[in-house]
Amino acid sequence: MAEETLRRNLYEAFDPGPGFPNPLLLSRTMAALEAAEPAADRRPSRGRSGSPRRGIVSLSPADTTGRLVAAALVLLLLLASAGAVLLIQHYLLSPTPARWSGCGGSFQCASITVPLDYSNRSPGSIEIATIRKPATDSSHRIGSLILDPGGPGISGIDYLRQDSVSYESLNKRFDLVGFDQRGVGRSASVRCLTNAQIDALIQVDTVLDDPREKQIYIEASTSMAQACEQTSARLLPFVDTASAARDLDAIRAALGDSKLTYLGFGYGSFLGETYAHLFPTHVRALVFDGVADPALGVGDELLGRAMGFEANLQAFLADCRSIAVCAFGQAGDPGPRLAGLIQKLDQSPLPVGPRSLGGRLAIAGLIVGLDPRRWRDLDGALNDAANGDGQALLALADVAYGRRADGSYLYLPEAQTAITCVDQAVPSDLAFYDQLGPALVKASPIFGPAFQYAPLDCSLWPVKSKRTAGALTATGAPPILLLGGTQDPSWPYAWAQAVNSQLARSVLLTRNGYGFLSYFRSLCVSLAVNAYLTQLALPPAGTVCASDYPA
Amino acid sequence: MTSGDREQALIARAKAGDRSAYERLLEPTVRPATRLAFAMLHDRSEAEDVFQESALKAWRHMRSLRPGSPFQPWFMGIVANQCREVRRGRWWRLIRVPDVAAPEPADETAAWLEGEELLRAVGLLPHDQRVAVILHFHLDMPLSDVALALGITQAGVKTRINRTLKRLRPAIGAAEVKIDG
Repeated sequence: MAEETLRRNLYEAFDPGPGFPNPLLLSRTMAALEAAEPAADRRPSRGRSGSPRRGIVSLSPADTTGRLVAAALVLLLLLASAGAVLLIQHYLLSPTPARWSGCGGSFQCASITVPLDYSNRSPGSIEIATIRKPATDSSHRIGSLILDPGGPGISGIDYLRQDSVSYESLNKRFDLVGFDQRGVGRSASVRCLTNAQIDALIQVDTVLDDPREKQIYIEASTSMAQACEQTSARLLPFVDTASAARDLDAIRAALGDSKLTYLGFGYGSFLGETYAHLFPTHVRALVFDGVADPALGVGDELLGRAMGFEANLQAFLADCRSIAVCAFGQAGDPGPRLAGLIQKLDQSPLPVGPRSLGGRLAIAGLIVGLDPRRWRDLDGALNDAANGDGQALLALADVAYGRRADGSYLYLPEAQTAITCVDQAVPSDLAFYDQLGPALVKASPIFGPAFQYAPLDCSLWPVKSKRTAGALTATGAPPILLLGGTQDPSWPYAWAQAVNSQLARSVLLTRNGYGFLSYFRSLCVSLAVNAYLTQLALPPAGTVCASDYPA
Repeated sequence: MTSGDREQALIARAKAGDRSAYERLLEPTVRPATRLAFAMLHDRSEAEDVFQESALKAWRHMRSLRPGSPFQPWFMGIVANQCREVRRGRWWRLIRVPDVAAPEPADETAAWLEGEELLRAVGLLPHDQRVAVILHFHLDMPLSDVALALGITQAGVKTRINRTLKRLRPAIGAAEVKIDG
């Protein structure tokens, strides 16, 4: 009976897990009931206003999109990235099967040895840490699905451990695989800063209004560059995306797959594009959610994002003006109020316990809060900040930078900078960034100036990129599925369209709506993606999906 | 004395202010009510809060339970409403469901959605449809009780559920897709 299957599926999908409900729930409820009505008096009590209120900002670890989004963002404030394909001699690795061993739950871990320098084996090798969760329906297993949460700089291992449940249906027929890209986490990694140093770094203002601020920014970037040169000089030249793409091929081979099945978010699209370009015949199915345009120059990239965030900001503000429950809109037009708030925080940061909320962190918090699913959080956080309490906005900024409650960081700015700087050549002349100003301010008075000088730290980086921006064609690869959100601020839709025309064979699936990335924002998109990954069934060109939420 | 009679006796005592009678009425609802709330909210702690809040509301409004009516369906209706309040607060107006296009005639042989996709598809249903599906298919509540919980007729429940089922098959994906020129 078909309905029995539905019952079973519902039971599994809605399984709250063990220990639920709390065995004390009933007795606590009865105690609450007595407390609410101390006497035998049965009149409705007004004393109890309801369940305990939670904090305004929800930082649920299960917020998959939030984490991916945050990942896409850190880079943005530190430096935007495009990518690189170095024309290096390709060394085929012998497909040595990896030795997997259990590493908690149903996960298995393995380390894969790859050359440090693919163009010259003499510098030796490095280890790439990988993790997998075997297919749950092993008799119908298709192969491995490698997931890349983007960044760059986010640990794919941590990501899979935390979010494998989000891929439950794909996990039936695929082993889910994550890896730490070279430079990151448990693989050979670029580690140069302490948590306290990162705390300091992300407070350095990026809106460089005057020569003194420029000097401070340059000094901060220089000191990070020097620290990384001291700790990771051997690795720095080789953390480029082209080398990572070759590692990806080594992982594929070690998994025993003849071809690659891959789902990459944000920066992960650039890694995937690079892979398809280098190994077109090794591709089975690739999905890029949030598409990086490798042909874009630094200035255009900053401009595209400034425009994207401005559009999302205006959507939030319009919404705030139109509804009665928007607290930040109660004391006047939220647009000018926001501009005033950011300016005020820029000039005199708000103390939050031992920390402080300045302009840069406020903008980082704003960026995270512009996710339509966080608009209520953002409203509350802005309202609090306007009233002198910066805690909630700082909590949103912490999401952007992956800062945990204990002060450690989920992903590290130095790895991101290291990868980005070898991928993207940037002008080192301050005047270049100065002249971007008017167009960026016009695109977005808040975000434009915040992004304007971001790439400068690569000009101070010890390793210079040899790559020039250019299209990747991946000629000979099978169709690749691109996902573009029409109002995606971080990965503008125009980039997805551009890559759609660059890649020899690609299909663009469009999601209508605001917010970063698309797979987790639209059931329509995720079903189409899953159908492609499992059956290689592509949606018709021109398909448009709605977002699950109206905004 | 039948179990129905015993329940009516407890209800009468609870209406008269007997907390221990109320606790005995409440006890068998803990599991289904928290499971309903969890299915609606996907948050264990919020689900427990909803149970507690609903229990307080039900206690205050015991007198509005019609004579002869069973306790559990009535209470589940209160829980469902409380979930709606919580979701309203949480999602505020984002809960407004997107215009899922009129579904294609469902292929009866097609599989049901599973896992997180099913979860999300159920989450996208209008509140009343979601409650009906969860009560009937997830908590195995008979249609007559679902009708009591929702305050509608049994025929109304059937219609609601039939309309809903079409949205829980993979065909929903195709149904949502609009093709541009």
